[in-house]
Amino acid sequence: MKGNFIYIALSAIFGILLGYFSLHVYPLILSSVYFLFLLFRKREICLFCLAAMIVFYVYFIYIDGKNRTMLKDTMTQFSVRLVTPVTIDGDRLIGTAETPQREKVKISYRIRSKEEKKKLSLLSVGMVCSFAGVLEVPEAARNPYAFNYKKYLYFQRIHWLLKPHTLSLDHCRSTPLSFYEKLIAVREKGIAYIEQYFPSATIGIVQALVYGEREQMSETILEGYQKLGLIHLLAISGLHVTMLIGMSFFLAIRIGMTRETAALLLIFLLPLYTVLTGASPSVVRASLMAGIVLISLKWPTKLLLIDSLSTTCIIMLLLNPYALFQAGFQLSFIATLGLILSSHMILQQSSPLLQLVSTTVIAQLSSLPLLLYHFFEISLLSFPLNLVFVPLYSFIILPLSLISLIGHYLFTPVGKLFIFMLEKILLLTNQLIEFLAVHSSFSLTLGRPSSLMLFFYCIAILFVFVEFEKMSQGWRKYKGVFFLVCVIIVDWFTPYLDRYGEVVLLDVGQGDCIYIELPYRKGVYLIDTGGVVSFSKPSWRKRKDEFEVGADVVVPFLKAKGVSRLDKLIITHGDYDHMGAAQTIIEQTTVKELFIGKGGNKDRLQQRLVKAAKRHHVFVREISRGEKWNAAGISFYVLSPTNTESEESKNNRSIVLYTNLGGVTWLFTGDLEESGEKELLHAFPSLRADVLKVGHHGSDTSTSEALLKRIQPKVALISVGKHNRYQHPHETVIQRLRAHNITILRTDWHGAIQFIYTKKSGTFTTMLP
Amino acid sequence: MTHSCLICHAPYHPIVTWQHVLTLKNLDILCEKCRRSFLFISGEMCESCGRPFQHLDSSYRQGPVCTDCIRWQEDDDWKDVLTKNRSVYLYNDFMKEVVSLWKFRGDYAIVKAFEEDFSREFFRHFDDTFLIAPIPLSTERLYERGFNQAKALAELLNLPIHDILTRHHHEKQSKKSRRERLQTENVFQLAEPISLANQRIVLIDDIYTTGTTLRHAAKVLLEADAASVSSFTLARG
Repeated sequence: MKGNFIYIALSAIFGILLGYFSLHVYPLILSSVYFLFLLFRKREICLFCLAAMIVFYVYFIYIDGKNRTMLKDTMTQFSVRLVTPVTIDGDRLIGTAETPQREKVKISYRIRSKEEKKKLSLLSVGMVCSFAGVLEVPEAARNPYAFNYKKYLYFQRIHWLLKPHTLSLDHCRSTPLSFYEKLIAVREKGIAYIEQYFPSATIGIVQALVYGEREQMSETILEGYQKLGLIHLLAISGLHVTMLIGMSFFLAIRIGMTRETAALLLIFLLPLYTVLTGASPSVVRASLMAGIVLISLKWPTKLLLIDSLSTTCIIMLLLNPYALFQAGFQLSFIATLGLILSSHMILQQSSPLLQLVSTTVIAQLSSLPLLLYHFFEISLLSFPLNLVFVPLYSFIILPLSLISLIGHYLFTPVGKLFIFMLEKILLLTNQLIEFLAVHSSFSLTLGRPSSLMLFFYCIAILFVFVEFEKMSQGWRKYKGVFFLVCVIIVDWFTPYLDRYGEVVLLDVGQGDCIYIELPYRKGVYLIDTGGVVSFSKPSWRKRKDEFEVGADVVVPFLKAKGVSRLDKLIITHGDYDHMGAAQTIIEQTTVKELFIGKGGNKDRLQQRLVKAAKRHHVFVREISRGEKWNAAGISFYVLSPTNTESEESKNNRSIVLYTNLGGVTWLFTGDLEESGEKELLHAFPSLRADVLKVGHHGSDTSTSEALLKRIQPKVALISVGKHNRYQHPHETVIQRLRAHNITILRTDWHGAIQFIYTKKSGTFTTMLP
Repeated sequence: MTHSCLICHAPYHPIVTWQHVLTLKNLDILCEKCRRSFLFISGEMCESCGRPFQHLDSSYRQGPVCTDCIRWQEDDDWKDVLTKNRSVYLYNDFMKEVVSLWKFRGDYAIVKAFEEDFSREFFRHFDDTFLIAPIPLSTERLYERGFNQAKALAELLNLPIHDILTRHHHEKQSKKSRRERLQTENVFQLAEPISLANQRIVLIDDIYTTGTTLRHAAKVLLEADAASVSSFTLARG
């Protein structure tokens, strides 16, 4: 059996995938290929693996079948017990609670006053609270490639967002805590201790390194670490756990324990440590693996490292088969697997520096497909930075964090000295990270690879490792690398070979943002960017990171598409809900041209945008009626604004575009209102369009009867925010559209609206059914 | 199931790598320590007999060839009999021990430990157009030893093997001096009278010490019109 556990772990993974995708054709093909591989190459264990696959398939179906709610959305009175500490961010409170029937729900509450916020911060694990409220279904992803909150919660066996009408401590009472909950409370206290006594630059990182808690870390720093491929440093990893175990083992033996007692002690301490550090997949993996290794010390035959990793994987999947779908689980296992299978190559390196280099390269390389899938890009700076940051974290920041925390506990002045040193170092590194994350253009935005590309990436990476391992002479060693580079190049160029174009009305809430990609990616345009109008808030309401459409919706969408360069950014007019995110987009992608309407430069917001654009070397142009451009045989006509400066309102000076995509004619109207429409119809008496982007989010000031009669659209697209304060789209507009038998697609109901087209035809799909 | 090393019999952890997981390679049957004790012949070597120059006094060397080979070339009888020799490992003390364990104490299974290196190095210097001929043992010696070590090695290559030679029984080679070896009459004959016209032949043997045995065998093959005769051995003295 030795060395064979990995095949069982893989079988378990295939079993779960088959269950999750309910025997979909891809996983079926993959599993069959895997089984054939076993049949021919590992005959002695192939039946055993097949059994494991079936067992895990059935097990997943069973677990998934039980993952159902017992609550009904008609319920209004609740009495639930908090099972995790609540997080309060600005005026929002989030927590997990359990009903008396032990079903978990997510509590989401909007705090009303500063006083209430103060009181609610006293909520703690184990409290049972009673209140009236409503159950809401969590939101699925509203945009392509976006985070799916509904699925995320489903994997945690949570089916409802519970929104209390009022939440008050008066209706909460404490109940005795379980041992597990006591540990969580200890963890909370520890986290609070750091927050209380450490300087702000260090809080987030010390909490992350000691307790595996990232909640308080600033989003920019976190994003910087992620973008630069350094995020693994902020996770409690195998290295971390191994170092701590090594130190404790050494100490235990020093104070006179036998090796056996020391090992036994550690085996009992590991689960406690896991809970105290937040039980993230990487900590669970590392601790479980360490535990298995420690236990196996007692056995007559030692366990191979690869077998203990595989066993850990099997155990974690048995405990929670949904773990397979967590990015943390995937990355932790794949990087560890890569390092274990390549350890002999690392150890062959003569100098510690070369060992560090190869460790970094191997960890990055083995997780490359996953990194691309989850984060859409890889940073080329990641390798050199890791070479600096891995030793910096392992030998300075991590030990200093632990020492200063312990020091502060035992003897505050000494602790403060260490904290001072830590602060100086972290201020410097944080600045460096922020600077590089913003200014370096060294990231390769490949976008989310297709299933086929993912498969080729995996093959290429296996090939690279095998060729390096064979120690072939000369260029043959680099055959694998050459193949991988080819795969990357193919992945990079696939969009340019794709005969399909795409129009996407992104769901940016209340606002417009339309992505247009021409076939063979001969042009990528963005009409407006969306933008959330932020009303000034008292400071207690402000969240750590306020939602920003550009950074949170538009840029991630572009990255997932593998678009790092926009040919044209067209801002129809200077309203915030159309151009609020433009600055972010100009900063985070490369924009070739910025189009604004003629005379738009008088507008204050647009003036600011033009300045920013010029700073980023974006070519700015004012466009007006009569202009047009061609790309890939497709013409775009500018129908508005007129080239004479008029006293019309901002909305009526919107850029209006007319084009033909996928055999259908399109009219993008910005926020054009009735008088603008009238003027438009007057100037273009024979204007027709199959698809109409409804003006001004369906406000009754736009989309006049006259327009509909003349244009005769078949499909109307309304870009409008869910529950928006303007009550767009207006009922009369909807009635008008209905009366003309026009199909209505709206982002508040359907999420993002996609139109995939070829030269002659196209189809609409929506994110939400 | 504990793995124990085929040579030192100590229990050990086999290293598992990508190739093992992909079943491109079997787990090593030797422990790491024994595996590392095999030293490859690398760097500069005599272009004729494959003798490593690394630890050789420079007086035994003239340009790209060693003085031994020059002596062979100066002898009209033996000139150009052997085109070239290549070997896998250095014949160091460890290797001597392993060979004696394998050959004289009859631990046949050890041959598996050479498989990967032997095959890879063979294809580095030769290819499958060569005719593979292991140095034979005399019937008496084969009976005594139970297996022919040269043939066991040749089988590692997964190429067709041609038993074109036979051997008379004589005293053991290792008890003779070079002069004695040279002067002895040729112990090899063709197994059947065949023509080897246009055939390039690689002789396989366990150790190249002075090269006399291999040259004796090569001479017989050249007399049967072989185009060229080279040799490939496990170790080089």
